[in-house]
Amino acid sequence: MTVRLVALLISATSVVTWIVWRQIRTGSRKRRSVPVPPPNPSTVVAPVPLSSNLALNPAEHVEESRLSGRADGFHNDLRISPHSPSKLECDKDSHSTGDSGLENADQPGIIPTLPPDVSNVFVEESLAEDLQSTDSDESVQTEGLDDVDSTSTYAIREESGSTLQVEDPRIADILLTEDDDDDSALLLDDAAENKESPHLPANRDAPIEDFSDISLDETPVKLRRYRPPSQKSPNTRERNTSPSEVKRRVATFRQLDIVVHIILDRHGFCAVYLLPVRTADLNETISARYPDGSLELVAQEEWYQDLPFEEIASYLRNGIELRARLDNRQPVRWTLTGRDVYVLATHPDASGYVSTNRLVLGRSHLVMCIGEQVEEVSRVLREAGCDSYTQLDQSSGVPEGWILFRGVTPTKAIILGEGADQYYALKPAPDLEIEFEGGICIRNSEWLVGYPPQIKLFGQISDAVKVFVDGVEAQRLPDGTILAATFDSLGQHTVVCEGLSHSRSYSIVDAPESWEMWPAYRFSGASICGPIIQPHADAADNKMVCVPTSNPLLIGAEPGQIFRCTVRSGGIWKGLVPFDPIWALPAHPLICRKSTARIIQLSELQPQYSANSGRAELNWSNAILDAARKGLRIETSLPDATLTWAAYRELARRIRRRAKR
Amino acid sequence: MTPNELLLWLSARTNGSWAQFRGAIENLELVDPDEAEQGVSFPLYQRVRFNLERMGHVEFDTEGSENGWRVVPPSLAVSVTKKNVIGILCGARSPKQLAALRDNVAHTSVNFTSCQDCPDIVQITASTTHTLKTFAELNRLVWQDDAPATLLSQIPSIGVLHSWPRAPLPSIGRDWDVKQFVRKGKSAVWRPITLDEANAPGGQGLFSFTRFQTPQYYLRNGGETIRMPGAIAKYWLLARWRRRVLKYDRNRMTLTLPAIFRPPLLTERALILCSGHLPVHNVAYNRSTLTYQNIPEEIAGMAAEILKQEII
Repeated sequence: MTVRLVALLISATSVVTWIVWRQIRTGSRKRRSVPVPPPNPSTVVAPVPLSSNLALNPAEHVEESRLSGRADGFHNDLRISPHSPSKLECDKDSHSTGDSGLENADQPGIIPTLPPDVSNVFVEESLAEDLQSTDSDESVQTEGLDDVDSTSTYAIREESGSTLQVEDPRIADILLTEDDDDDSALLLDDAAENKESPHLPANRDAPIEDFSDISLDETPVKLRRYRPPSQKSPNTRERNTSPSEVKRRVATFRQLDIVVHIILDRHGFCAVYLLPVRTADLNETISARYPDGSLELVAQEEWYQDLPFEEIASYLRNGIELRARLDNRQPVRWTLTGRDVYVLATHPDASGYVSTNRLVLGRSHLVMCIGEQVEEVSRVLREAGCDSYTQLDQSSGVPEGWILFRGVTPTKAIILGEGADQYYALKPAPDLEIEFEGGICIRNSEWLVGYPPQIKLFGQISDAVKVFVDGVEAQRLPDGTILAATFDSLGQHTVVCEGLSHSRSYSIVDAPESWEMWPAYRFSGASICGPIIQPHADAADNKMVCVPTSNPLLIGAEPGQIFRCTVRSGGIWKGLVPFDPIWALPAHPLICRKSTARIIQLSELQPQYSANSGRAELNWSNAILDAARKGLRIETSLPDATLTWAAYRELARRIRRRAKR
Repeated sequence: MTPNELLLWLSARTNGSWAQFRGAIENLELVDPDEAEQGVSFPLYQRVRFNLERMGHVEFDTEGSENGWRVVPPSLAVSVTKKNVIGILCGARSPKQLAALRDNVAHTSVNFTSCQDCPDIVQITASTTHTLKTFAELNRLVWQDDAPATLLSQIPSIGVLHSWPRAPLPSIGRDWDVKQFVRKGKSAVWRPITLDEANAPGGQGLFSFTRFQTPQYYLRNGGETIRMPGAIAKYWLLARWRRRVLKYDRNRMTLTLPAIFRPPLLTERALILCSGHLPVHNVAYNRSTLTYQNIPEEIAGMAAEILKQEII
């Protein structure tokens, strides 16, 4: 009896609890003013707790998609919401700060929301009364805040707690009538950051790296199909890209790729993922969105973490684009171009296989194609010498409508026809290398004129293959050397192997016309650069003089111009003298041996009178008078040496007389 | 790539880093993988670098080419002899310029002489200075009159120590190969010592600290330790020891000196520019010597004065 009573009590308590919980839940949902999408059969409804401020979260119906393993039961996986987890939330009751969905993300039953870099702004309504809004969980409204009282004030609150009050209900209207709620959130985010009204056009002086004014919806998402590279005839010159085009290509969005990643387990079951490419400067984690929802990317080495999608079959065929904004506000997008055939190969940084451009000879690949293409793909693979591959279908985990060829190892190169080839990826290029050998390579692909490179072709190449240099067919020697008429002329040259999508270019450039001189070594009198000596301005008048070491006393034409050569071994003294010497006298004219000592005349310049009578002038006159008194002979080849010497002697006497006075 | 092509490459690049130069040397056809076993003192890249530097083609690690190299403008280093006027082609070369040199040979003779580990020596001879000057103008060469004497007249004497930086000896580190320059009979040798011995208080003389094939030279004189080029420090010591090492032969016009006393760079450049040829290396009685050719007596005297030597 007691047991029955206890059981009854428990049942009653459970019923009451359920009723209360249900009422609370209904009341919570009544506060919502954002359209709720119809439930998808594939989605799981997550219960929303009483305290949650996710009341306006349009993503009550969450598409479950495994991103990372968590071991907390029903919600053990990170989910990808087809309708982004709320970044813009309106809760008229909640005025508490810092109570975001993020804080509850780890609790069971709470939908994880996006990280703060995207979802850090919330709009609060500060009205006391309830909004006149939806009264049913299932109702769908197209205009979320149409019924808001015009006197309402709203707060744009960041997680940090700073709040921007907005009175105009159109702000929220703008936010919620955007095509995508996420954009509104980003728009608000910008405004909050700049403390400006979010619905007013921002009037900023955008610096070069300011990406704030670029909306993620600047260009609508238009999924692209893969186009194989077009093969051009060898003589077709590449069109020059205009600077404006280059500028256009440097899109406001940073463009990155998504690669396909297939992992095969030991039972041959495969799992197909998408890998957004990551560069070193990208955030470790980043919230991205795509047409069907949003997700969080977590960094690995070269890529972000594997992304599993339920609609992978469709994405593979039609393509997919992810968009996000980096910490520096720069928008970035990752694109997978849709295609019918994928070629995957092993990669040193990833387990399994990663999509690649084209089959490579001798390497094992996976080829994945749509069901309609199986026959044609098989034919091309046979042509490429692939004969031992196996075929997997949906029962082995291959996406619906796709077929996977495993163990595709091509052995034959296939020459491509002109134009775009639908099966380009399945046609392996020959194992061919165009090499430039010898010559004088100045830098990269520039060779010095007169010393061009020898063009050589290595690898698997048949005689049928034609090689063109600058559009003109070249001669191919047995050792692989390519001979062409104008391969060594100045300018750009291109070597193309017809039909093999192999080409390489180089250019022949001229040497510089002139080289600059610079002071490599600086000394007191001059600078030196190689063999070139550049005397300084104050030493420019110095004269190079060569005299016998027996006559080291040099006399110039002007009184005072006297220079004594340094004592040096050897018979000849050579060096710079600060004037033009006329006479070379013995070191000490009065005490030299008269029989051998000479006065050497170096020039026939007449003496120039000077009124100065300093020490230098006196020394000058003394040297001349001493040599004259000794009666030294004059050694010269110049005419009238005796007369010239007499003139010097006369001037020297006058200077000495003047000094005595 | 041959040394000639190396100079063309250097000229086309104008300047660059030491790593680029070493990379280019790796492509030289002269690289001998067994040369380490043959007792060659310097690796090829150092030999080529020194030769380019001595010949005045390229400056290494100087002002304007720190930690790298820079090509000197094409120039003609002129020397006047009793018989004729000789010009040595220095600096940058280009295929066009070399072709023009061969074409513009009116009244001049252009001789190309191949040389080991060095670009060809291009010697232009004319009977008068005027003829050679016209040739230089035609070929857009910078004219340097009486290059050896002018160069030597600007170089300070090795006795001037105040311009070299004072720096302490390396006192820690395992990789140092430390040697002291000491007198041994009539010659001098490098004697291996320990780091502690080099740093011992009261140590005097020239010390070499080598690490990663890069020597650093320190002269300890009195209480000072001066970091300076080894060649200058050696001649400073020679002057102090009152030892004469320069031998001049007037008849042959050659200047001979022990190989261990190779002159400092700019002095040697001046001696080389007299003939355009690198010194001849001879070994006799286990003593290796360097002989510079076509050296006029006055140039030998100028070099001796700079090196504080007296010619034997």
